[in-house]
Amino acid sequence: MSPVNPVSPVSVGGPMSTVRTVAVRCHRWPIVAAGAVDRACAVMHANRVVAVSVLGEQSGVAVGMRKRDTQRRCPSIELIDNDPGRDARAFEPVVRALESIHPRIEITEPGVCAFGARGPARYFGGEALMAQRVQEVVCEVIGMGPAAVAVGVADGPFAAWLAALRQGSGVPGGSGVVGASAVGALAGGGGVGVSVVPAGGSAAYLAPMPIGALAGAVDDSINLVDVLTRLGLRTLGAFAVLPADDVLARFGWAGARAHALASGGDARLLDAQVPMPDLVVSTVVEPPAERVDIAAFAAKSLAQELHDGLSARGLACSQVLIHAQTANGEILERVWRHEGALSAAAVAERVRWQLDGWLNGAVGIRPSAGIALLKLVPEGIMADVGKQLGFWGGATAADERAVRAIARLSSLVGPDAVLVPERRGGRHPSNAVVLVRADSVDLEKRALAGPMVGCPWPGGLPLPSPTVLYSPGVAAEVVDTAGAVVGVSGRGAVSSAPARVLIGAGGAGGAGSAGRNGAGNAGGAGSNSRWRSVVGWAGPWPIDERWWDASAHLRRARFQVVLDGGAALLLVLERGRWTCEAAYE
Amino acid sequence: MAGATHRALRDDEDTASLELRREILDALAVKVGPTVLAGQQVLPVSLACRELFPEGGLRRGSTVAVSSPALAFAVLAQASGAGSWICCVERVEASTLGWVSAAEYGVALDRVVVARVPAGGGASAAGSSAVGGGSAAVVSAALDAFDVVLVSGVVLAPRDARRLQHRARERNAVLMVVERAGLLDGLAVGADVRLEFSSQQWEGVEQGHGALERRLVKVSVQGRRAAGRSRDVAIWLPATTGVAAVVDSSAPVRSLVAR
Repeated sequence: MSPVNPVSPVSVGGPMSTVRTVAVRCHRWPIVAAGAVDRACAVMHANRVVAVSVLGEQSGVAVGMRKRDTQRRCPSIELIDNDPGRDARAFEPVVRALESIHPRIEITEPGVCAFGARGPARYFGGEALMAQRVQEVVCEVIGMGPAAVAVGVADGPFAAWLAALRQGSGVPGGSGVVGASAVGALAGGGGVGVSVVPAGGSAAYLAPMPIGALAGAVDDSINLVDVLTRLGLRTLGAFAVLPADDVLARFGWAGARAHALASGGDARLLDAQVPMPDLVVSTVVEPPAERVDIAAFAAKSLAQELHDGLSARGLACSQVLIHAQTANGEILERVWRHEGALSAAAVAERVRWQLDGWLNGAVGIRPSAGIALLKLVPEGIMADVGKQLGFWGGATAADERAVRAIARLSSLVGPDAVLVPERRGGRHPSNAVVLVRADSVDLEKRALAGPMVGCPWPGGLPLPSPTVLYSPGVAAEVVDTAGAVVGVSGRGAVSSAPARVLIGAGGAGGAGSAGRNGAGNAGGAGSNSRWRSVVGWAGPWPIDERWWDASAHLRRARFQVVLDGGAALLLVLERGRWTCEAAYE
Repeated sequence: MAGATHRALRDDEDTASLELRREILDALAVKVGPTVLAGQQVLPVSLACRELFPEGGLRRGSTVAVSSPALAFAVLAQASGAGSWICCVERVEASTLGWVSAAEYGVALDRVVVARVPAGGGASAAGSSAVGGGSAAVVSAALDAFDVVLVSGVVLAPRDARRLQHRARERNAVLMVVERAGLLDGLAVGADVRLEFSSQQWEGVEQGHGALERRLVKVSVQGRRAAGRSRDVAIWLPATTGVAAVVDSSAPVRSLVAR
């Protein structure tokens, strides 16, 4: 046991305010939701693995790996697209079953939920027994062994969530055996996959945990964890002994919250007080919505209304209760938790997930009529401290707007036509930065490294780079003063100095000319297919690429040419044929 | 309480001092105030490009026509670095913009989105009511969400162009059109600022040796309202540093061009 001070600082609120909480966590939920537990498969998001099945993990695939590495480790692996909606839909029956234990289940994310422990523990005769009962219920619904479900009981959702998370982590097969450590000794009681942290023991339980456990628990946690690690604070205990005031001064609101969590003082309430009634927003859907998209559309404006009402009072909510009622009076209520303040879009998304799970669910749970009433009840109301940008920058409103707009553009021109630049390497500017599909990269976390200057690519073009690229080059003719076509010998010597250039000579309407428009002319040289005289030229710069591959072999010579009037072009000679590949406009 | 303070202030201080305080307060209000009038809202441009714009920057809601992609990159670099997103609407199969070059001019590529519109998007059906339906809709959608929309190689009917200009004003976005081949006459007429090369001179390439190094361009600035008077501005595009730079004003420009 590391020597820590388990007494949390006064400003945190103390352990009195924490609530005994049960956290339920289904391992590899995206895999379970996709119904692919018995195969080697991985769920991908933005080209990275977000979840991997047991079989996949045994072949060396790990979360965070790129698609290419994944397939190299395990060529037969099945790749599944990430779909939070599917995950939430599949989680719905689990939550429904847990409602037999506690009426208010709070969903943290698909696959993870929490609820208060006090009532059920008394009913089932102790927390350990109750936790086992919870595990049995969940296992029965998803039809898997106890290894797939971890249950943690502790003071506050964070410690409980961590207790559940530690179950089976570190054991590749997810067998759920608690590691023989201080953790196991502290987490007394419970069987496989169940751990109960005694009341008041959360601070001591959390102390030896690595600081990385904070990841995902607060805003901007990745950067916070990074900074703390570099400061030498490697465990939650070491972080918890810092004075809370100093942490608040140095790391702001998110840091103070992380500090409170690390000290075992998770002051957030599971069952929040009854909200002020005028914050509750509801709408009557007329006619009752049978389809998810119609209901979700109504929810969107409702979420905005909720958001406006809260922000007008300077408040934010950490949970939202989504209440949906059908025309026949069936009611579905779910509480969604969101770390940090919920934005209007985030609320709308959760409404959509929930209704998706209900309206498109199994026959048994599907309602008998369309959704007639939607109500959003904000819970866990707190003063809105704003999403202030930390030391580390972070998403601005413009970033969020842009990411949303990409979806809109995709619907107009198709996902294949909405692209973002991505750095690669190459000798030609069209290879150095390529355009990839916008939905294949994580735009919010993306940060392209600084300018290309300083990382030379042997054989690349000298700076500055051309501003316009012709992907099939525009046919050109280059002649010397005598009118003979300029050539380059096998040893890279130019036959004579180029004197005149004709762009767009390759038949009717060269590849780059805007043939559709009568007034249009070849863009590159800005000329109307007429000979232009050369005032300066440099080259040839030979390239012999991929000579080992007969089909991809490139052997060419490049020239920079400045024409009269000042236009500069990049001309390429390949197999006796001149093309204009790029222009410096 | 506040009234008493106010009265005491008026009694004690003479009017001139009060005026001074008001001025300080006004200056403070501008500093701390979250909102700025749309007309005064300006996206920053680099020092070299400041000369090109009457407001000293890209006014939100305005339309800018440029004759060269390099000029577009140089103008947008500062705004992009300051957090503005750029959406580039390009025609499929047309020549593409060189994003390596954009990065060299200082455009932050992680805030660039490229939307490709089909080649038949508007050029073919000249005069019909469906002119530019596809591409104009894309540009319009982009204007809703992005600070800057860069249109390249897309043919827009004059009516669509006017509608998009109106949209840009409404959404406080900058619509920048690269009109390399004179395809966008409809827009060019109405652009708030129009930047064209009146001359360009590359340096670095000799007869058979060297490489392109830097370029001196004379940009003719035309436009409406404040930019009404046509004038010429000389800048390096790019300078040897790879970005746009001011031409040293102590050296006579004419002699440089003649070099």
